[in-house]
Amino acid sequence: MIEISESVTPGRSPAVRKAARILFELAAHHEAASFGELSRRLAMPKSSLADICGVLLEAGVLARDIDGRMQLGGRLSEIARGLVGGTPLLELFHAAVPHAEELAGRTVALAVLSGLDAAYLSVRPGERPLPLTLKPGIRLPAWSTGTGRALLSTLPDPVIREMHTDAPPLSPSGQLFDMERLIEAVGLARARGFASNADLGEMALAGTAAVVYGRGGPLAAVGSIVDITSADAGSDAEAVRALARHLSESLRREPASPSEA
Amino acid sequence: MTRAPHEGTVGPEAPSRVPAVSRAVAVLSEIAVHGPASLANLGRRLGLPKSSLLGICQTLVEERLLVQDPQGRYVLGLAVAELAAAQLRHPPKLARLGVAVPNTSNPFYVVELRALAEASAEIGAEIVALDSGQDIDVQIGQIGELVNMRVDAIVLDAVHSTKVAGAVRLARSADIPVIAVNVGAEGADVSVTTDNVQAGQLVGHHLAGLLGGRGEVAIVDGEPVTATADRVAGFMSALREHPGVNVVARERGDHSPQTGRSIARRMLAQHPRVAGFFGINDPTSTGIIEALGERGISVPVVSVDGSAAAASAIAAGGSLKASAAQDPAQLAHLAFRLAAQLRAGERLVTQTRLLPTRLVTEANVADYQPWG
Repeated sequence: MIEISESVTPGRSPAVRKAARILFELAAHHEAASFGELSRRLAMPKSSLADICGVLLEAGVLARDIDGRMQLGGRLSEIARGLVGGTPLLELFHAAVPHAEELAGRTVALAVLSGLDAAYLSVRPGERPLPLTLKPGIRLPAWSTGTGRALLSTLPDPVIREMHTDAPPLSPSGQLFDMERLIEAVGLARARGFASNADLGEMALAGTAAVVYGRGGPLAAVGSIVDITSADAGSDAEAVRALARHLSESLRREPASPSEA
Repeated sequence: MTRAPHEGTVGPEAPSRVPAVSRAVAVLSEIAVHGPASLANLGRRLGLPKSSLLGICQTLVEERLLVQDPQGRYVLGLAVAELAAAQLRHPPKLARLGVAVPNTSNPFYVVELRALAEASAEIGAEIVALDSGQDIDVQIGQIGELVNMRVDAIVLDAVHSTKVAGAVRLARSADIPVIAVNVGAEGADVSVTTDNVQAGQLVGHHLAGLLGGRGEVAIVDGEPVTATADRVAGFMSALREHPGVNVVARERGDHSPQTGRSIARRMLAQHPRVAGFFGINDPTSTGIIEALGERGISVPVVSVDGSAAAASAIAAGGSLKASAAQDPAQLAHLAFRLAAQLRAGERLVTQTRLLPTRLVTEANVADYQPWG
């Protein structure tokens, strides 16, 4: 086995970097791993691995499965609540999407507004591969996506205009930003209760999205994404709106989090 | 109620083998709960020097677990969403286990509970254990409490195998799997018991052998649960091969030495020629032996459990001649494993798991490792 030494930027924490590598390794493989497997895959000495895993286990960032192997722990979902206003929206989305029968086979995504971007937090992949692999962590210009347009529709037009005055982000497929077209699209979204980007043909995808509301107002958007030839705006819109309503109602039933209070 | 909380809070002050990692988790948690924070804010809130936090925060930024907003404050990065999404893809983990036992005076249940607590601790799960004081109505109410607490699974050692059915249905309708342990429970997802028919057969054959194949015997039965029914059925089945041995008395007790003693007293008064007893469990047999002692009688008693007290009594050469051994810790470990599997959505191959028993007698008690 060849050990590749890590270059550590001075002033950084090698232990924190190792902890992150452990977490990303487990995330990439979708399954639990023993100390031995992790040590081999990460080329990390067992003693160092055991110390770091011990701390992560105590913190609940890692957990043991029934056979004693390491897997990602529930504390990660608790921390991720900070991305959605301190609410359990990610968990609720994960639990609800498999029951959304009208969206069976569709790619379904949950996104929040991050500056001028739609930042995707969770994605349930569909049965058919899309021209673009949507995954948690990807950011796309809000103006060019269904979820982004749904989120922008919660803002007043002057705010949207101001946000996009200086250098709007480029679309991955090279679509040109058009302010008036965006304002028209978000106006339509407000009127219909759902947003769409089918008119853009961005990446040959059609997204249909609706806003999820928390106690404090708009929190995120859920969207169905299909390749543009499979788009069925009517049925997708109703299904996505139903999912957004369900998630909003579920959030209202949850106890208020410290960050919501 | 006993609880074994596992909340994995790691404060910055907690002793840690790798303090930087503990502090990194504390930083992420702090920002998750209280929102964006500058280095100075974080230092103040976590009680840590900025110099110590800077390297940690910058590493978290490089790993995309944090980002800095235009004001220079740290906010959660999207890599947190990637990790959370991966974590949520795991089958649901057993995080909180509900346990309902008939009582905690019988060492059997104490060992069962201890094994469940140990198994829970190993995977960082919380356990909520409830003792019903041998009252089925109390136990039914307790199962309702566990359902309201939204435990992930319930391990149930039932007071009554059929009267508990409604409460089991309630739990299952709330998508909470129910694992019957030690005794069956109507409607449970799966039951894990000792092979109680085998236990009854073993002690039946042994008692008949001690009596030379002839004599009157009495059974001090227990509560109407599957375990007792199976033991008695196994005992009676064995006696069919010994036609000279007749059961002349049978009465239900509550598995305690007290009722064992009082029932045996009545039986001895009504059937003075009783030549042997079958006590449904070791505590019951203890009571039977006390009643025999009061009358100055010594007849063989056989039992089921294989507890430490029974093993000592067998080794001492008194009236207790044999006990078919159960292993409450093994029962509990299997129940726990099945609870985790059901919680993860796995389908079970069979709804009944029987663990074999062995007969503990004077001849082999020296090699036997008892529980309790």
